[in-house]
Amino acid sequence: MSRQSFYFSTKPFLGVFALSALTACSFSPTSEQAQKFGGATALSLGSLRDAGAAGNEMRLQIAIHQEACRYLAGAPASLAVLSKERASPPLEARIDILDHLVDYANSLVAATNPTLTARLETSASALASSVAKFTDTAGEALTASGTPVTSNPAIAPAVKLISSVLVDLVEYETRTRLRTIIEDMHPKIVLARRVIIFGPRPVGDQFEVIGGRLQDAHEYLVRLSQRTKAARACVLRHVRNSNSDKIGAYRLFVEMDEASRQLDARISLFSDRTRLQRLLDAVVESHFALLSDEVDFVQSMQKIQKILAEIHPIIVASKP
Amino acid sequence: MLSSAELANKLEAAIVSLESAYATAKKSDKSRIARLRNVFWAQLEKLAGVPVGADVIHYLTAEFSGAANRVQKIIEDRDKFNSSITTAAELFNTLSAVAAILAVL
Repeated sequence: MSRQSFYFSTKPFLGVFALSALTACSFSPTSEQAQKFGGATALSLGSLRDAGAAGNEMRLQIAIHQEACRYLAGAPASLAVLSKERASPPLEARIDILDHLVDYANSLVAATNPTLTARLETSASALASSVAKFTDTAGEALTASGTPVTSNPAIAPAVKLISSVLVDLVEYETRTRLRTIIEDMHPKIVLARRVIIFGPRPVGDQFEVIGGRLQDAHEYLVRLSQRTKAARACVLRHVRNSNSDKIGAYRLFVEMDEASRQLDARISLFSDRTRLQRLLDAVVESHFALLSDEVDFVQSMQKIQKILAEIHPIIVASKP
Repeated sequence: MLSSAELANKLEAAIVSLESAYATAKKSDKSRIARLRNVFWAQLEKLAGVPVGADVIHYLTAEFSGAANRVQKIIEDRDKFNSSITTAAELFNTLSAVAAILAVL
């Protein structure tokens, strides 16, 4: 086989490898984008969870305070009535969605971690050097045994190049698979954003229901706040009117006052619906950014030509 | 042609506009806007592959969990490749050692 025909017989094969390797570099979800996406989901989850936790925590505090108030007033205490008031179930379910979304975001961050690629490149480099070392020592062994050996200085760079193309090919396949998943998941993330903010789509024309879910949760917290204040006022009345255990009752009042202030602070955080909306906007935007890069085929082809020009003399030199 | 991700973003933008239009619309227009908005919402669900009548929250939770597993599998496959080239490098190192001994003999 002539040098020219050998080159052209291997050209399609090398072309596919090089195309694969180079397109891998031109579009891919980057680690930085994945980190942004992960950060935005985690932040949204924290905000929503905090809102849910505020409801549960305050419900318990009010139960304690109301019972204390009843006790101070001499009435029989009952927690049964209070236990009917529950945290909003849709809110909990929506936290669940975000929880799983955060898992997905964390996996993407792990998959796009540049240190993994660096590790692959190190391994490929180690393979190339160990193959070159083997060629040298095997050559020496054969020379020592009297067998004539023609030393081939092109073997090490050739092996190095092939290893590097293989690494690029694996990276290309990895990123293509990731891109397919991201494209598939994006409409689901957009839908999840709607569901988290507004709840599931209502049937028919119940349009007014949409958008009221977070509002419901907010109003629920406001009701809790009003009840805390009512219980606090009850204790205060007792402090003023009663002669017994004034110090204990006053301590209880101070405690309730503090709880009431904390609840108001939580409400102001939770009632900022636009804040949660902004956080979820960032989630959708950063997820979409993972798909935003486009393949520049002209540039890729130029790179392929360049790499083929580098490969050609090595292959020619490697021929016996 | 738009990709499904781009289409989802456009549907989302349309829904947001309709929500804002609904808030300021006259009472007589509200139900018309509501119907239109529900059509877009249904399209978004269809695009996301939510089966009709499905529990959306349960469905999305399962989908995100599945996607995380798929990404994890990709990481494992890459790790396997890395481990195989490391093994090959070790094999060549062993062969070099054998060749070196042969050279001495």
